[in-house]
Amino acid sequence: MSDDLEAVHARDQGLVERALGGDLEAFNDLVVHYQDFLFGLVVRVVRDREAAADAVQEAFFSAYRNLDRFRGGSFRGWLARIALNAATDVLRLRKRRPSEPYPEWEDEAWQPPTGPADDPEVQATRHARSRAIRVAMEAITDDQRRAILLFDVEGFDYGEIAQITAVSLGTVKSRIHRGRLALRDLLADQMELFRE
Amino acid sequence: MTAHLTDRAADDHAGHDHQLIVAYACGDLGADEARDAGRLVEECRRCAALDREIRLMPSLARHVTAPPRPRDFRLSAADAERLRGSAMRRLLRRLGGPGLAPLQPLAGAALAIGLLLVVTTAALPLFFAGAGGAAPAAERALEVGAGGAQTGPASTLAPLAAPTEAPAPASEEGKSVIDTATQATMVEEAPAAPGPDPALLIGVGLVALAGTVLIVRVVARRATEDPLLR
Repeated sequence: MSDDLEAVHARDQGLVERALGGDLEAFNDLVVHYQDFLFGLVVRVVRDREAAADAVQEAFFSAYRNLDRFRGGSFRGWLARIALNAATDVLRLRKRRPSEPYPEWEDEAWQPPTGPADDPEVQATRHARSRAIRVAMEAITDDQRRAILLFDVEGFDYGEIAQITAVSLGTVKSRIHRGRLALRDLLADQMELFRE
Repeated sequence: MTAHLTDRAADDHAGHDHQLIVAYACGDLGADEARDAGRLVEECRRCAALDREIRLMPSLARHVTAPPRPRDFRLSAADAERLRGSAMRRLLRRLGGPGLAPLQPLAGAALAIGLLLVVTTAALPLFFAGAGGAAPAAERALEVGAGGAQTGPASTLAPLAAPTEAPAPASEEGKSVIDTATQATMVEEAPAAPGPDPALLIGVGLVALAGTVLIVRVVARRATEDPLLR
């Protein structure tokens, strides 16, 4: 474990202990540290801003209620697990009501901010890339998408993902391999977009 | 695999092990498999392209942008109060929580020991004694009648209160029987009941205590279970 990671774990553990002692500010410090990460992860999984916000809020509520059940280690990973479970509930609910589309899909708020120096062609390429990869990510399975987001975007390692998603290491690897292969097949006709 | 290596034609790419190439590109192969996959990548143009494109995927996934967080998720004091729950709920959480988790194996062991004690001190003797194991009191009473009224400290003679009264059945301890020699009713006092076996008492106590602990833990955990921690 790197020194940085150890320092983060120590900081989080200290905040958890203070929060367990009744210090709400300490818990809110944890929220401040992780709310962007958690929202970014969940919104990519559920693809609906409001539903993602509700899931993240539920995750923080659950974390607060169950803080005494945190066994040490990566607080970020523990939170990710809770939030992904909340995201799973959102997705399950949505499957029961399939008529609801993904209202945020084409929202401009999903697009990265553009600088004044960006010329229209660069912006157009960026949007096209973003759209292509979003559509491809939409087409792979939920499990593969989660594993890829956790590994490629959030930087968790295989072991952490196995803990977060409660599956074996082999299953994590298999999901990532199959997910990448599926993405590559889905994007085969648009690879030109991604060549610098 | 060796057969694959000899197939250099791109048409044969479909027969190549694509998952092997993916695992190779992800750096998840052992030395032997990595060598095989490396040869495939060297010798098959389309396997090489697959390897290249799979290596590109992690950076592509980062193109999935996320919208800005719509609100602040910090908890208010009211949220915290509500989440802490009632005193009963807090008690249940404590009883079912990890703080008391070490009690569970102890209770399990105590339950096992208690059951063992109960079985060895109560159930087994009954099982081996069977139906004839307990001497009927009637037999003992008759022995007393035939052998003289003053043979044992447990027997006393009392004047016949009602000589014409039919003798009571002597099937139970402590019932009166007529002594034919003295015409006195001999009352056999019930022998002082032996105290329960201490081992049995300890066993029953352990079973009750450990069982209560385990039941309380299970009930408390169920009552406070959070589905998001599944």
